[in-house]
Amino acid sequence: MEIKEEKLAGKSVIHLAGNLDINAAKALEDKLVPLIESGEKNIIIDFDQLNYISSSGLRVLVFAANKLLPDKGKMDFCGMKDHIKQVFEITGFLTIFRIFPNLAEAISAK
Amino acid sequence: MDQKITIPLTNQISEIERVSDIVNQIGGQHDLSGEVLFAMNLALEEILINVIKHGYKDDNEHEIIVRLSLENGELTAEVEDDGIAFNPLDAPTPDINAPLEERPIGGLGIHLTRTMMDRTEYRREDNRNILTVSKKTV
Repeated sequence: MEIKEEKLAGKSVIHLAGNLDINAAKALEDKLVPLIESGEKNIIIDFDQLNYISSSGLRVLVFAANKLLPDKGKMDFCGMKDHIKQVFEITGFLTIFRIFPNLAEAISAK
Repeated sequence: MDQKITIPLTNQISEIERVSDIVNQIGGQHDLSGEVLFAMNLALEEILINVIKHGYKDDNEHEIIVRLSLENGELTAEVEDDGIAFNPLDAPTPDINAPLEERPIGGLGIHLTRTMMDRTEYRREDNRNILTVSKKTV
């Protein structure tokens, strides 16, 4: 899985491309944890090019989101394909995360 | 057109990718939908990770056999292992309504498997766990 990071309008945007399986989950954790520990409070995960996610990926997202909680940080999502949204729906993740249709809306959200 | 393929693997996380490559090959050859392949690859990853991480009391190498078949309008995978007797389908459904800080992560994989596959069955035979999952292709 490819991970690209950029800063847009004061938020850290993480673009994922490919499959977020158990192997990719470790790489994502290694990207997110230092980012959060360095003080980043606004993260957007762009799923536009993501084709697959398993519970290993979900685990990293929950871990990261919990790390943001004490400082009232936020982690939002955008560009979710149908299969991925289905996984979020089945696991109840739609109720704990904000999901925007596209990056522009995610960036402008408060 | 039907197809059957048997994939022996060792209990290493790195082996899982080999299985999904074969699932995708079958999918390409038989024009299976993205939805079917997604569900099957997800189910197999979750099942195999469970077996590899929790199925054995020792650190030895073990063989796991995955049998894939495409017949009667279904893509079926049978995962056979010689680990401790365990039926993952008995695991309780995790609380998917808990607030973020109370979210359980354990159990999500099997919950996803049960929900996204059309059929899931477990049996124990000759000291082996056999978990079968199927997804309709038509």
